[in-house]
Amino acid sequence: MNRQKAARLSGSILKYAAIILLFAFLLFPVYWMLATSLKMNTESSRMVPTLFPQAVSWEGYKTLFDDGKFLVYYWNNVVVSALAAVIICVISVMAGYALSRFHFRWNVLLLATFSFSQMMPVISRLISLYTILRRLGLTDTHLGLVLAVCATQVPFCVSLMASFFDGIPKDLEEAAWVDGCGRTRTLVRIILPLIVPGLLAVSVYSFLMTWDDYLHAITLVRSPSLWTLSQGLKLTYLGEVSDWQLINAASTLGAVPMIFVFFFFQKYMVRGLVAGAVKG
Amino acid sequence: MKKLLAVILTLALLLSASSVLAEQEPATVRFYNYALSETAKAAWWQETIDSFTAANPGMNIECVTVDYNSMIATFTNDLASGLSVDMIYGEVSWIPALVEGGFIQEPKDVLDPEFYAGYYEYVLDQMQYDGGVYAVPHYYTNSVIFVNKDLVEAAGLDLAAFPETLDGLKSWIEQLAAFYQGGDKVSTIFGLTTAEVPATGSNINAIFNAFGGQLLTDEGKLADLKAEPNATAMAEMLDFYKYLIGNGYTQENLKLKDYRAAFGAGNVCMYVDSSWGYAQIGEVDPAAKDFTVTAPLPTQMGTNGKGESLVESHCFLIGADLSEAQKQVVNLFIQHCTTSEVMEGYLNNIGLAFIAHKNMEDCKISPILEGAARGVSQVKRQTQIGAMVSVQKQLATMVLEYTMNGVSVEEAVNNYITQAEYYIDQ
Amino acid sequence: MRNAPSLRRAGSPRRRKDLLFCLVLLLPAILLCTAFILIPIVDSVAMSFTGYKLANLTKGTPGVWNDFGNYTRLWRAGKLQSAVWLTLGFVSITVALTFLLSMSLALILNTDPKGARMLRSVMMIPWVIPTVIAGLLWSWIYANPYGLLRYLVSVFTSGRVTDFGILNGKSTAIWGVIIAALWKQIPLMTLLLLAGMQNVPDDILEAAQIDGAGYFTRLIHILIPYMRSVIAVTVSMCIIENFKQYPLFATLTNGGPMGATTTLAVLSYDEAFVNYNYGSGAAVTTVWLAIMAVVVLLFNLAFRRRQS
Repeated sequence: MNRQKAARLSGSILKYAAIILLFAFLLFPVYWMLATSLKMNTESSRMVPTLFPQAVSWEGYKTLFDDGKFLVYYWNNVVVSALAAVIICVISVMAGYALSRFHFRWNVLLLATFSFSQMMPVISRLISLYTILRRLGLTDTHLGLVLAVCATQVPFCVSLMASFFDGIPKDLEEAAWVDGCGRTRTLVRIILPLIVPGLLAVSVYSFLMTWDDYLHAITLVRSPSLWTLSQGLKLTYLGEVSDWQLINAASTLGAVPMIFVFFFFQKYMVRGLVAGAVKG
Repeated sequence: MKKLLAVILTLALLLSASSVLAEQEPATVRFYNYALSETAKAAWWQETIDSFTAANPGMNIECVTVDYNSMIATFTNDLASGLSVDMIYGEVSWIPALVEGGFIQEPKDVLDPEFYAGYYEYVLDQMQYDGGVYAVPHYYTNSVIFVNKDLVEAAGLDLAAFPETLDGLKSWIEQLAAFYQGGDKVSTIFGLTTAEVPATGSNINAIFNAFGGQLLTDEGKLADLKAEPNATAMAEMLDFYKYLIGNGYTQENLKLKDYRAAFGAGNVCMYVDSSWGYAQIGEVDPAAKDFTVTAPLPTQMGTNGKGESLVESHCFLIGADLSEAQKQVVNLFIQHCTTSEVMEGYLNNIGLAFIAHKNMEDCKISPILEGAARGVSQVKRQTQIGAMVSVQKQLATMVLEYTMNGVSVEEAVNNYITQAEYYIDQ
Repeated sequence: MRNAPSLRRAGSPRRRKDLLFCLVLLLPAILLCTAFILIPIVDSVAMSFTGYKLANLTKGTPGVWNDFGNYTRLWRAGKLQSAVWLTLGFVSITVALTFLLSMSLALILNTDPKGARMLRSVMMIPWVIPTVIAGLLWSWIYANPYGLLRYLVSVFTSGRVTDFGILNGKSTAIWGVIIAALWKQIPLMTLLLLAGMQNVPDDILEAAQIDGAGYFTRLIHILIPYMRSVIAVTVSMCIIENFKQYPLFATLTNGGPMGATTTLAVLSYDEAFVNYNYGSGAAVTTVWLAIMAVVVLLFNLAFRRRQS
């Protein structure tokens, strides 16, 4: 009995040790970013780093706000990500519904093509993407960027949406059908309200992914007034500049809203991701 | 009488106005400038452009920020969508790509000949590509040694006797290393950058020249690195890097910006950089100006080296399709930006550098650069080639291979030749 | 795949209308994917067989067939081979470690330790941080000489190694990127595995325990087989994600030192956007695409076969 107890005790010690280690790995870098953003550069450039900022300095954040450029990048990122979320919602509701309800033979082929195109490395598309957008007159516009980014999210979001539609019994539509409701009206009036969680999952996913985009923005958007956050951060603060306080302050500001968005929509997000991955 | 006078006056006014109009029809120049992403520079440019347009009515300059990494695509895209690229502020290394893409023309066709003749030849020489001179320098730098006065003097060394030979420099390095050994204060005794980035590539190329080597032939081919004096210069240069890295006098794989930050924090005794690197030193600690001094590279480095480095320059490049009126705007604007009054503040506070045109001869140079000023014209000419960035960047790879990975000089150089030719012959 | 559709049983005119409706619904998705993914891919594969340089782009002239010149040039310089091996190495190590660590974390969290709910949410923070910022954050930790890692190493080696720069050494640099990739990817995989784990019926596990099956026996013979499809999906997602990885390399190493982290992604970007040799860049991405397709296909085949 005692030995079992000891084993269980050492097991749970091991367990908590593992938790502490893994979570330190996951979370300490975030703290370090925060702490550095509050340290003067002279404090950061010490051979022995300080765990807590000795003299808290808001200089980095102040520079960012006074500068104005950072806010422009930020706002652009919000616009682009929100636009992408809206567009992807519309597209994936339509396509997801079609794939879930109508089973034609070529649907399978379509799904396969979709999931194959999800694998495409972005760089391989950049040169031609650029030419195509130029033909459409969409280079150096947010819309062009959003469409290009959305295209990469379509495969995942459509199959995610389809799995949400699968969860809704078909009797509802049949009933609406009998009542003489048209196809479009059935979709908009009856089904749409039922998949709000799916819509939230898809839009939050799309928002996060677009917020993260770097390669598309860097090739398709030129004017600094249209730069997104990742692009602006990399180009403005990582060039030949080594102001770590500023870089970390900018990073913190770029990361924090995403953390909030995630916590706020966590329930839908997790459900959506799990549904997408586990069923898809 | 009064009436007559009034009529004459009006006529005169009208005449003069129309003559101005005839001489200068209003023109707008689209000016692509990569320096605008840095706050201090952006403010300076705005001020300069405002003062120019105020003094030259009818001439407009429209600023466009362009990112260093995507400028080619920007120009391509803008030209295709009907936006002209009239004037560009950029770096020497952009010339080949811009000429290949058909974006720029030779400044001698646009600028007043008299003014054009005022450029220092050894700087202008550096702008050559494919038989033409495709840019004019705004100012320039060669490689200079930044020295932390306080650290060096604390170790009992006299700055007035800054070494003029490589051996002298090494003995300083060793004395400093002995003095600061084991302390936490100093991270680098003598910094040379070896990270594989474009800025490091040109820095190493400059050091190679200082050792008496020459990387490219005048025709833009890779020079024979196994013939003299290149072979000796290469071996001696590699050994110097190994000496620095192997003994911990410098860290491997650091970027210039790392040295700048560390120097600003007071942890570096000496390091080699372009003069305008000071901008970032001052960013870390504005008080750095009190301990920062500069010195030229030693004039005797190895068997053949005379410490001659390469010119780096920020320059004006002129768009290929300009109307006569636009040419005039570009001509006057470049002249406006090349005067002592306009440039003195810039060269002292924003981008520390040396002047490249005789119109700026009255310019007071920054006290920080006084030491290095002795060696300003110690530069060698180098032809530009399209693959310059990669060909120079591979130098860093070679240095790291030799210093870090125990590859022999011969093998490192052979590998380098393979890689450089890969980029040159495409 | 899904339940037999009831709507399909209806008569043929209705079915034709269904088809039309379905097509209209799918149209935006198809258009978007075709215009922005499929056409560019085909275009880029075609470009890889031509000499396509800066002047082609600026003057709009088509590239000229060059007898596989882009491929042979890359091959002769040894760039293609080393990039392929590096990419495969990076992907397999990162995926294996991500899976191992995520699985362990999921198993631990599945035992409902104190504060499990809270842990599960804060765990996701690295995942929501944009990749470029993650790169910046880790490059600050790795920085030499002021980075945290250098200091920790000098403390743990009690001052013997004082200038450790993980991104500076030829053999260590790739590990620097791998660590950052793990940090970014463990959260999502843990979350998904945890969800899959909670679908495993408890009674079977309990029955096995009563039968005297040890922890690892239960893990290997019951839990993992039950989670097979979740594992297959998450791992192939992870494979694709790492194959495509570029931003971390761009912010951390840019392919260096001495080419030690020049993966296919970095090489293609370098060829096309640094050296303006678009044909050569396209050749690299074509190889990249082919290898990725083969790897994912093999993985799925292997998993399917074992499943049946």
